[in-house]
Amino acid sequence: MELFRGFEIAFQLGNLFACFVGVLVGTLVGVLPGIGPTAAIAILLPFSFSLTPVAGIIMLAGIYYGAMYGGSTTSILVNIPGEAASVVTCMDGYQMAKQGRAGPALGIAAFGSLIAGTFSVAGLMLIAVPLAKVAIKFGPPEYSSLVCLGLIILVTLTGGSIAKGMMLGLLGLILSFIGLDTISGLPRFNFGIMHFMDGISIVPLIMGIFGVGEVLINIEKGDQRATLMETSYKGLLPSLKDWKESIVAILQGSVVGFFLGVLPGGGAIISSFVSYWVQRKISRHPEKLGTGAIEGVAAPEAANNAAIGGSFIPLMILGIPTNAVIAILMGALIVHGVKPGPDLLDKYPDIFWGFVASMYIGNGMLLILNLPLIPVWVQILKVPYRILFPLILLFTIIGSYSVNNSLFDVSLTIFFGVVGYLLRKFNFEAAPLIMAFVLGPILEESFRQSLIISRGSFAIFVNRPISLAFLLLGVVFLVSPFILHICHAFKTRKGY
Amino acid sequence: MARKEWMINAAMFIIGVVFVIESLRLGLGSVRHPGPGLLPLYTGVALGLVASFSLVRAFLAPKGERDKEKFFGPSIGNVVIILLGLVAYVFLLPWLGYIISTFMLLIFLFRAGGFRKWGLIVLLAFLATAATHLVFSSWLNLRFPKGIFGF
Repeated sequence: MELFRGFEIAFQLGNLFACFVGVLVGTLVGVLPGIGPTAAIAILLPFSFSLTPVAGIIMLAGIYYGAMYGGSTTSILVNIPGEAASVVTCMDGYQMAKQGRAGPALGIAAFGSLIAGTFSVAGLMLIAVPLAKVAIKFGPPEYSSLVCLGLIILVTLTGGSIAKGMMLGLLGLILSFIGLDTISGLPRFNFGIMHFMDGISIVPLIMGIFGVGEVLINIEKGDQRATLMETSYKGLLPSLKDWKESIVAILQGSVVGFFLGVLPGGGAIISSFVSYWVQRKISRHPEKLGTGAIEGVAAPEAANNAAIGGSFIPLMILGIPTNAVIAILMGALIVHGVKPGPDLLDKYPDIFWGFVASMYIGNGMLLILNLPLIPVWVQILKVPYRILFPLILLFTIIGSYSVNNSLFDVSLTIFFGVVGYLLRKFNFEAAPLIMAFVLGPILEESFRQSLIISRGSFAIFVNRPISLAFLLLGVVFLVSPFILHICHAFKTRKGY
Repeated sequence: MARKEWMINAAMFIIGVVFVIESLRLGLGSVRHPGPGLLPLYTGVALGLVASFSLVRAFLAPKGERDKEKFFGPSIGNVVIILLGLVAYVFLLPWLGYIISTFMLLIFLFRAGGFRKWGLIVLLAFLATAATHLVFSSWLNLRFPKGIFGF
């Protein structure tokens, strides 16, 4: 019944339009290399504040899953992934295009994405309600431990160095402490700057690191224009043979993507890689993967879309974002006065069910947008970056200014842009910073409340079974890379 | 591990130390009634420890291939110029107002990005300025700075 109510909300003209704008912009940024969904959502975040909370979240989520659809177009036609989750699609997609089969590759990517997207929305719907009933029992100690677990998993799974991930996570926490202390009301860490009295706003931080930072790094590389594959993209509807070859890959990608999406740090990128690896393991002809096999396109494209539905579960039910995009969406909800968590379903059923229903509608819109408009997206690919980047920077500036009508926020955006640029230069992944920044206030409040409840005893975190389970899981995630490293070194020394 | 990473590790270490000092100044309270500096102190100490560990590792690391590579790409000059342009824009915006300063910024950015056709640059800068002013100021009621000319 709630879903029908959700469809009523999603079909309201304003929300339908927000969904359309979201998936359109998402496809566009997915198509354009040099601007990913994180940067696009960051840039459009302030504009969502002029919408209702449900329309705002529908639009921003539309950008996220729309980008996954659009990303496949550049991977297949140009061998350049429009966004990171489409990297794997290049392997077989571009080979198919070279063999004159760009049409079926684009077609199966779109249909696979639709099937996986719908599967993950159904999963989100089915898991959310029972999980919310469990999560409502969580107290401050459980929340402290859960946030710690989320941050640990993100740091260990994001890829690259754990030390780097930890440093950025801790830096994100530190930045979140700036401003008024919520319990004592004392100003903290403002270093005499009045603008910091209310803390750092999430908008300049995100727009700087993801928007300006990405532009600066692209400019430094110089104008690297893609060479378009001169191929026919007619015959977009996959044949029966194509379907037979890819249906298992689509289903496997949907399941793998959905469950990896639930994990912090999982998300669309890791899901696409893992599902490709799984496909290689289960395929009857693994040797064909990488040479233009249609299942090599179907599996990662299904997985990166399914991961999105999965990644909304921890956000909507626990109030825990699992990746940078979800952290931005959480920031958007908080600015709208909506605090995601176990009581979201009770307090704001319209937002949850309207959003879920809009994802069904959005997935359908994307299919209509993607297939017939492929020639248009191809033309857009030809727009040089030297025309695009001034406009991206202008939107970033307006976006950061518009939240508080503050030039200080614009200065902060430029500052964080330099920080984002340097982080990329030193191969730091910015996701832990953003997530820790968003989760910092939740962690501090629940940590201090826990100590007040327990009269200063840290045992409260281990005496409560759910909290203890979260902490133990955290220890497992933190220690396992070192154990694996030692085992690997031991095996190498033994020579097997 | 690239040895050049000592710079960012050192910066993280300094941030950790600064926050530890500031947390102690704020007051830690007691474990029964944690003060505003307690969790920031733990976080600052942890950041300092991880950063110093990474700092030592960066110094001890043998010189790898990545250390021989040039740190900055071919167009680093453009990055600096564009950043200077953005900073100048923030200073000029309250004086010249949104329309003039944005038009000038866009011309500057198009040129800095290597665009050579002056006619097209001016046209694009004009269209983008006019369109954003129309959408954000007229439709969405965003109040841009008007500057000394009043627009």
